[in-house]
Amino acid sequence: MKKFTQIKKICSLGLAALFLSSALSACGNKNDDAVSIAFPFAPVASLSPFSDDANLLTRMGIAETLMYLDTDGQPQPWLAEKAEVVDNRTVSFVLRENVQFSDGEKLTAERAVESLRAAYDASPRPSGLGKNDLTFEAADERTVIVRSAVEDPILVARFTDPGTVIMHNNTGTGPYSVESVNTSTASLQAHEAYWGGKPSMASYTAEFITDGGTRVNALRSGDVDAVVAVPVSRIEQLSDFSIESVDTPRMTYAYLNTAQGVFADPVQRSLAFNAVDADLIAQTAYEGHAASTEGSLFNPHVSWNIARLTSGAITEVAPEGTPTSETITIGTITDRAELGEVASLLAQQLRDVGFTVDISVTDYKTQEQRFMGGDFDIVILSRNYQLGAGDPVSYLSSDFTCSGGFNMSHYCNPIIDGYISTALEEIDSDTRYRSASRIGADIIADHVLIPIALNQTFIGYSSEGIDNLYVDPYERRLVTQETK
Amino acid sequence: MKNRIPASIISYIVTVLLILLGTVVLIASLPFILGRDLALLILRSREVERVPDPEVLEQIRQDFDLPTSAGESIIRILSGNMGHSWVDPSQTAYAVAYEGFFNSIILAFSATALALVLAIIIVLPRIKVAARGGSFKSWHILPVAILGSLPEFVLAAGIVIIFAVHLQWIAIKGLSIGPILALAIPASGMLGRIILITIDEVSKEEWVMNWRLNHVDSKKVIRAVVMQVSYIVAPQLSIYFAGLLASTALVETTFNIHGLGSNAVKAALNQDIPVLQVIALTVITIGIISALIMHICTRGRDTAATGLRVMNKPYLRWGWLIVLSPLLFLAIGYYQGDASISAEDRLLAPSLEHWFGTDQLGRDLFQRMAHGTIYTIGGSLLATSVCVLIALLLSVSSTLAPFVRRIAETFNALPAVLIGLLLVGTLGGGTHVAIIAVCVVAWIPLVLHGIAVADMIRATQYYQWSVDHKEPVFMRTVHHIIPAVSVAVIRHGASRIAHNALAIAGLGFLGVGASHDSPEWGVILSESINYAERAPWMIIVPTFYLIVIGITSAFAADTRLKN
Repeated sequence: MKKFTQIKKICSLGLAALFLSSALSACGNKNDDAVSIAFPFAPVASLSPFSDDANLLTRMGIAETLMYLDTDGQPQPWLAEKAEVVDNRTVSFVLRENVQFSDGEKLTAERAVESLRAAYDASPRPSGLGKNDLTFEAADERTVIVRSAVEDPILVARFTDPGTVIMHNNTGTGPYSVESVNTSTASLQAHEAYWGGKPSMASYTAEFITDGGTRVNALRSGDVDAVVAVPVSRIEQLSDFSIESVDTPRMTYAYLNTAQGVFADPVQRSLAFNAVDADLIAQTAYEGHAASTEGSLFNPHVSWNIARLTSGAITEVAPEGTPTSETITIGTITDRAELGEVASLLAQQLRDVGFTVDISVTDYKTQEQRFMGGDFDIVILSRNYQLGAGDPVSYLSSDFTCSGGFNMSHYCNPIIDGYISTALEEIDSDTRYRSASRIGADIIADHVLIPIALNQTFIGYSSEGIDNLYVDPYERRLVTQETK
Repeated sequence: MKNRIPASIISYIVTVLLILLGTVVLIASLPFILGRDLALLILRSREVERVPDPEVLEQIRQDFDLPTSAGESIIRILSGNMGHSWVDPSQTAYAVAYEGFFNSIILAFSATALALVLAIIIVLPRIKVAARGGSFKSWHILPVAILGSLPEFVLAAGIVIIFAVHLQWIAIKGLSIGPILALAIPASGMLGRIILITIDEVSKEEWVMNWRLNHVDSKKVIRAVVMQVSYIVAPQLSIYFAGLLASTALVETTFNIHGLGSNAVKAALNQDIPVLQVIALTVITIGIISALIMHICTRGRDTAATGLRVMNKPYLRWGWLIVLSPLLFLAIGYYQGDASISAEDRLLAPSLEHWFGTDQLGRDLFQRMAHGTIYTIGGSLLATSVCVLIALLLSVSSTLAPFVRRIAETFNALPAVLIGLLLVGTLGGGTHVAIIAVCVVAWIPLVLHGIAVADMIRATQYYQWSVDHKEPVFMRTVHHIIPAVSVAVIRHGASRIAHNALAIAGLGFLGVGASHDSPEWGVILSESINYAERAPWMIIVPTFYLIVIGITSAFAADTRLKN
């Protein structure tokens, strides 16, 4: 028995000592002087450009695409010096001179073609490249010719998709190169031979902090110098810092399920539509940090969004009738903090006119299949209408046609389908965008969805710590050679 | 004797293997049970906003080499090939699962150590009484009850705001004393409770009495009692460690630590099955090892003494009513009616009009809290009752006991968060899901306790007497085992009502529990985190009420020395 006690004592003391010693060993330490920037996403695929990590590649200044989108959503030359539309199926890009990858290799048409082919063959292919067959050819040292099997009005814009960044041996042509990366942090070194001039910082650190509150606190505690995507509920806490904001091509919509359930009935749709005060919801849930949609499907302030009135193709239904006694279900996601509040406010407004409402909020990955299956009468989401090639007509086609892949309203209207397929053929960019605007107004007139708020993106930074961040409405660029 | 040991070892190994196999099979078939489209999940984890065209999904299905049926998935894993992460095929499942693994280990280790120290400090008053003589006071249990009912995510948020943002003493991100404290403080409350009961046992030992009567220096007695208590409690630390390791996810999120907990949540959300397999097998193995360590260290010792033996009379006095009064006060709010949304009354501080202030949608917090009482306390009572029933059923049979014990110890290390997420996937959200998720882990301590008590009764002379007189097993169980076990388990259950309320609240924080606009306290707390600094009342009020429940249930189950 005595022996047992000793074993016990040794065991117990050993365990206790083990635990105690480890408690002392864990101590935090702060960052050094290098500039550090907090990004809202962590790399999901080891910075493979054929995933959302492509956005990180361009934002962190690691890699560049042939073209980029300017504030009006028009493609502008980036790695390409110019893009020449040869005919409706062919574009010829002339590459910039004296561009080097950060491993010292020269950018040639051959290497660009290699990189583009890899993107084209990737599984899945970057969405901006579309579904049609493309071929790539290096005509000479600096000329890349892209041919499409069918007429393609947005062929140039396709090469603004971050998935088409030009890479060679896992290195890009941007002002910075990756020294090390994991899912929580990356350290970046200046690319001395950068074509746009020597980068202003010798190095910087990227911190990947997915939680919005933690990100903002990291800026406040001085751990980082800038944070991307400040949640609106935290803006007030950054009163001691500088904040830049820009309207994004991203809107919060309440999609009404037009295929099944209560809102298959246009009368119920119009009752709900008229019951909702979108601006009040935007003001409250976004605390004034979102712009009014002015009832438009797109940002009402961009130059091409001209249509406010419908073309007359859709006859507006007068809200005659009474709200159904059936319970309406609203589905939204936790991934964006404001959406839950939007749902609560929207539900309240619907209840005020006599609807009975239920809300379901879960993470996007769990909800999406239910959204697709039409499980809800209303789905509230924030949606970017200029993804990939930045083409709003492609967005209409995927989100509002009978065969659309992301048709949250389950909307199927042959008239609208006809309009959209005509617009898809439109070569002239200006006409194309304007027709998107008109079709958008028609869709709104059919009460397919209720635009709630135009989202803005906020970048918070300490003005002593960092300067010259590129504030991009498409959230594709951020760090440039001038950032310091 | 010689033959018995190998037999028990074989049965042990068989049980462990069965548990591991069961886990592997369950996880491998998970996405198929849930009816989730793997290709869509992989697309979403790689590209959040892309249009999921059928041809894109088909391509992913082919190129990512996904299993098409549960059977295929199981066979692949059983052939020993964990393979690569589905989300990021450039990495092996091990690499993804173990990224930051040591962060979690250090976190859980340090938190366990700190919790032990804190626990001993907060129970020191009772140790003193034990050493010097005198009667145990009910307030001794107060600090234990308070610390034990602090939600760790609230603590984490508070620590970040005070020590990282304002004082800037600790780094906001990564491993530091901050996350360790956030885990250790609630754990010290739980540990403190066990230590309190152990003290009660130790102080009954003869030597304490002898030393006291012989006027040995009281400091010496205290030191000796602390040492003795530590010997008894230390082996349980390994179980605590495994439990803490499983619950690091919330704290890891707040401090942006990449560790096992956050990897588990991410893999579960993405249904990245190979990674999930690695994590689940790892935590279960750790659970098994820590249980083994505990058994080796406690070999030859009466396990009942280290279990929660709550056999004495509880305090039921006026003090209890005082503690309960804040809850009774809430009844007024219940009759004031439902809290309604009012956009212009957002985030108002407490005033005569809104006694507890308003929330982010302008709802009166007092009324919300009042209406939430039913969901939170009711839910916890329901969960606790179910667990008590399960524990009773599983602990009375002596043949079942060894298996039940092993399963219980193994599941101890499974993250409750993971279970919650899995259940949400299968059953959808809702309070009932939160209750089930809490039950899945909360029956463990109860059943272990029940088994210990049943063993103790079987060792008594009167039970042996009934065996000798060939009383049927059923009658013996009804007459001797069930009465003793039910008293112990029910009392132990009562002491855990607060803890279960906290667990339900914690799941609400993850969006698992009650529905979106529900006034359930966990939901209120989870909404409050974003406004913790601008509207501190939103976080303070529900936390205060959780503490009230903690104190109430601690009083209900407190032990005291009979003189």
